[in-house]
Amino acid sequence: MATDQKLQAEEARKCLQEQLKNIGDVEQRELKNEEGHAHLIYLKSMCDPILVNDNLINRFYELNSMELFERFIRSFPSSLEPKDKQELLRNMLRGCVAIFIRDRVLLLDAVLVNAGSVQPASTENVMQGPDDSFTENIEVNLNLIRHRYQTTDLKTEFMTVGRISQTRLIIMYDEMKVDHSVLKELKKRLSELKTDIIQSASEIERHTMHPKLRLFPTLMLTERPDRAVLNISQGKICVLMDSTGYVLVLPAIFNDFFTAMDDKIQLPLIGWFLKAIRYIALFITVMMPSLYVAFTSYNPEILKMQITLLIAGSRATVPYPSSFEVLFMLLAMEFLVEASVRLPKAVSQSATTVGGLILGTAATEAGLVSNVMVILVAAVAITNFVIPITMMSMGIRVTKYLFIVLSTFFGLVGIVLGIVSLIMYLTSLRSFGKPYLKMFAIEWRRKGDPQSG
Amino acid sequence: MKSLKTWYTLLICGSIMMLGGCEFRDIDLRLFVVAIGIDVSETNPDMNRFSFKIAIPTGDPKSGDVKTVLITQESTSIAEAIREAKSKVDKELDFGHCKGVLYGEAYARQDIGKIQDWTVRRRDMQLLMYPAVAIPTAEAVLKVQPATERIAGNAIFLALSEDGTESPFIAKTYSFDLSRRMTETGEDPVMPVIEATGKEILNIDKVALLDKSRVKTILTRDETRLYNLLDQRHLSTNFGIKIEGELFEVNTDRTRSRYKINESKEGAETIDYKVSITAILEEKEDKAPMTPAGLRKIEKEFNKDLTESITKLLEKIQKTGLDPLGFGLRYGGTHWNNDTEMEKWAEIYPRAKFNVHVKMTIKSTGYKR
Repeated sequence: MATDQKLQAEEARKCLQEQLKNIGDVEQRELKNEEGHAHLIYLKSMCDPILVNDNLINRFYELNSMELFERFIRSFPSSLEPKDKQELLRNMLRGCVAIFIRDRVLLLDAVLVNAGSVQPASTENVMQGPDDSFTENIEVNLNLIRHRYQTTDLKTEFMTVGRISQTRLIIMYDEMKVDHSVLKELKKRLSELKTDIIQSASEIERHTMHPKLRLFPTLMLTERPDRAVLNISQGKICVLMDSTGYVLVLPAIFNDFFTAMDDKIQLPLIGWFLKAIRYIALFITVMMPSLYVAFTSYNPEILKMQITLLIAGSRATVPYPSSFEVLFMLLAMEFLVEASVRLPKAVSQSATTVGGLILGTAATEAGLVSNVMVILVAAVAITNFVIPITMMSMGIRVTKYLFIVLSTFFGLVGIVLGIVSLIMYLTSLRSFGKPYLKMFAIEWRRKGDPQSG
Repeated sequence: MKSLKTWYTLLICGSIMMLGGCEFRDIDLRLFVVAIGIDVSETNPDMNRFSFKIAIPTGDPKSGDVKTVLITQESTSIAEAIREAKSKVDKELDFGHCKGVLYGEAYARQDIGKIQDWTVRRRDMQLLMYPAVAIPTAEAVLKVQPATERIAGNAIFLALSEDGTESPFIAKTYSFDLSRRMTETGEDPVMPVIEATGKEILNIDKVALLDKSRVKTILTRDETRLYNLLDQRHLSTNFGIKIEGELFEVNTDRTRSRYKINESKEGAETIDYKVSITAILEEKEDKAPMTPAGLRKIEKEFNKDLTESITKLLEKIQKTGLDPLGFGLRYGGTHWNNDTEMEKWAEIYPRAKFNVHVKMTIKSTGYKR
């Protein structure tokens, strides 16, 4: 018999009691009847009391036989027999009940699911479309995806990451469509992950990407099940994570971050129009401030004469160079945005009013900032919000400062230089081996082309 | 230690940002010269009189007040004049928005080559400038402040560029085109003529024909219109005619002029012009209703009249020896004897005959029902 591999109940219990000292929410129960006795140890906060009562305590007194009770417990698919103390402890911390019966130790999963109901999406709104978003519970999320993608090709692989947090992950993909090299790469990177605590999906991104410092996200975080399903159907991989309402989608290319689910919902022409608008917004939000600097300080002859005289006139009272003017106003705008994100909803309204209206108008009336500048800052802020995925819009927010620096020192030439290097940088990026700036995801695959794939 | 070094480096780099730079002037520290005028000096024959029209920006676009300053400077060269003008103003002179070079008539009849070369040579000058001949002097024209002007110095260019008004008497000419024509064999430069009539009105209704460097002739108003008819497509203008004492005016809708150089007979070369005009009857004195048959009659009269006047114009241009329509360029471009073709053309052009064929179609009587 393989008794030597089994854990000795007495020894394990002692060890457990040693380990669980000073933990207040440990509950121990002695169950006794004529046949014998059983001992339950579990974490009260992690386990479902109804499940424990119904399935274990009530049954124990009903069944009246140790043999039957043990078989009954073993019949649960979620029950298991730990091989060593570590496994025992780990599962207990996860929400299992340890059952010491005769000289055996059994574990039964009685985890308390504290699932909030499915909420409407908050960061990725669409006009007319499904409104569900992922919850913080991985099982519910799994359900949300399976519900929308009903095929056996949809594979789910379980994993845990984080030495202490032991966060559960589910890798989901369509086996027929997925790129297996990407899948292999993902598993490799996840297994190499050496962090104590992982609490949000974006942390996984930070720890898995190469190089570590990059401006643009190469993994997409989404809170929309329909986006996850759409991406799975396109052969991408979703990584679900316990206790976060976001799902990782990979590989993600530049264009993905400019796609909203609206594009699919609306008529094709309108979808293209919306996408075009987003790219125009991208151009404006990155270029406008630096172009302003370049035009006012270096190349005013490019503008029309009307605009030149208008800018010159409105700048007449401004005491510092245009680059400082732009930087001051953009920083003021960033402060405003940042403040309104962090503030409670009730206060943030008034904060934006104070900042936007009063500061903007007062600054121009006092002659500290030109009128044109205020329009420009507003345009930059609005266009920045057009970009549908927050992570990308953050990256873009930073990029524009690089352009301002370049245009401050080199004028229009600097901007051209910036555009060239930005494109080179984007093309150099890879998302799990996939070229990042591959627009519109068209496969120009030819025979013997080493670049393809 | 290493981090201390990094911080020092950052501090030094950061302090560079705080320095007030040199040779760096923002838009508000520049004065935009919108036009340059060149005249002959009345006192010193070696000197020219240069005028710079400078736009002063206004902070409030709604106020609508337009402020310009005219700085005149007598100097031997324009480069010198600019440096001298710079010491009369408080800000940097910027020629990036200079959109016009006006040559006073007296100066234009001498030699504009030097200044024209300067305008295309200088880095900050645009090649999209509008050169023009100014009557009586460039300074007088620049001094005119049209009441309709909303942006400083803009009125002249709105007219010259045909962005604003669309007059059949304005021959739009760009600086690069002028320079090209000044060096091109077989095509001679033309420039519109601006006349200052009164304090607030500019009149641009003539065209000056130049040989390679100086004004030779200035065409009259009617000739200018016909010149534009031959030179441009879809000229929108009117033509009038008197038939049996009654006046008819048509408004052209589409015009097209084509020519062929016919040299089938040595010594009797012809330039065959075909002008087709589509027009609408705009004005008539006769009170009787117009019929299509009547229109045909008018068309015939117009054809005869226009043929006559165009031939007259072409012969007049021919007599001056100038070639503003580029016949020579066409001839050279369609012949292979590269060494001798232009000499041959110089022989042909003075003796060539013009066959003008005008075909006017009046497509509507203009009645509204």
